[in-house]
Formats: sequence, C-alpha cells, structure tokens
Amino acid sequence: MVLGLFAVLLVAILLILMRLRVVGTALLLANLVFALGLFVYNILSATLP
Amino acid sequence: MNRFSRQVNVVVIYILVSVVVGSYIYEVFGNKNPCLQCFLQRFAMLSVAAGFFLNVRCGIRLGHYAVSYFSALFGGTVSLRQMLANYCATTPSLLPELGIPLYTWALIVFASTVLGISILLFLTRPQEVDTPAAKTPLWEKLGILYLIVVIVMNVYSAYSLCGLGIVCR
Repeated sequence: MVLGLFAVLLVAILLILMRLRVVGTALLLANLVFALGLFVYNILSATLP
Repeated sequence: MNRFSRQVNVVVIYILVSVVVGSYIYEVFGNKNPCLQCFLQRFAMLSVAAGFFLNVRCGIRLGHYAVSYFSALFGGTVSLRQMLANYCATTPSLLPELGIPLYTWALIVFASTVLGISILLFLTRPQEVDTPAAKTPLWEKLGILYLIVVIVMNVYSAYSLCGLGIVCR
C-alpha cells in the first residue's frame, strides 16, 4: 500500500516528464485521495474496537 | 514575474526534497524505522514538490499550485494528528531535533509551504498563459533528478519496511 503510493508518484512524475501533463496531474490527485483514504483507515483502525 | 516564480519553484523543490533526505539520514544512521504516518508525511512532502515540478516543467498554472496546496494540507493534517497522539503519550517523543520532534518540524514545513504558495499565488496572474521554457537550465534539471532519485529511494525504503502491505516494521 505504502509502496504503491511512492510507485504511483514516480510514474506520475515520469508521465509529466514525457509531457503527458493531464494524465500525470490526474494520477497525482488520485494518489493523494488514496493517501487520504489510507490515513482515515489508519485513524479508524486505531480508534475503533 | 513568471521567471522569478519559476526560480522560486525550483528552490522550493530543492528545500522540500532535502527535508525528506534529512529524515532518510535519520532512518539510516539512527536505525529508526519510519511509521506509516512518517511515510505519509514524506509522501505529502514529495507530492508538494511534484506540484512545483509541474510548474517548472509545464508552465505556471493555478491548478499546479492546487496540487501542492492539497498535498501540504494533507501532510499538515497527518503531522498534526501524530503530534496530538504523542502529546498525551507517557513515553518521550522520538528523534527530537533542536528540542522539537520531527513531526512538529514537518508541521512547520507544511505550514510554511502553505504560506509560500499563498505568496506565489499573489504573484500569479491567471489571465497570463505561461509557456514552459524552451531550454531547461542545468540547475532545474538537477532539481528534477534530485526529486526522482529521492522518490526511488523511498520506493525502496517502503518496500523493505512495509512490503506490499499497510503495516510497516
């Protein structure tokens, strides 16, 4: 999961380097939303019984 | 003005990636494995840098600043959560630097980033369409390479500590 975050970030950077700006930005934003989900899951798993 | 903003963007990439390298040095030389939230903060910091990288590579746009802004807010939230969780803990905080724990430093960095982006947004005129420079200077290329190398280092670190799962050793 954590590995995926950094791997997708790397892919997004490489896409932007290849001038695929829209795809790269969309991937960056999707990755951020996924990270947000991971963070919420982390909070819930620590607080819920 | 766009040239100035572009140079500020490159400087911010160098600063943010260096902060992540600093935490990496702590990890290697201090033999302290990062937790999930530490990884999320590193990820957020690199995502902020990726937003600035978009400005450098594809021209300055408001949407690119939005990527950095969202990442900085996300990273700040994670830092604040970790700070509050450790505030009530009975054990002392790990890895204090200049008397302040690393997650508090991370919060300071994210807050400064939000302030910096706000200032840069003041300098950006949305009606101006900025085109990327025809020839990228060497120090910008080095900044981009620096960012990519540190992301690859973090991919390795995440794989060695967390594998494919969510729980890190």
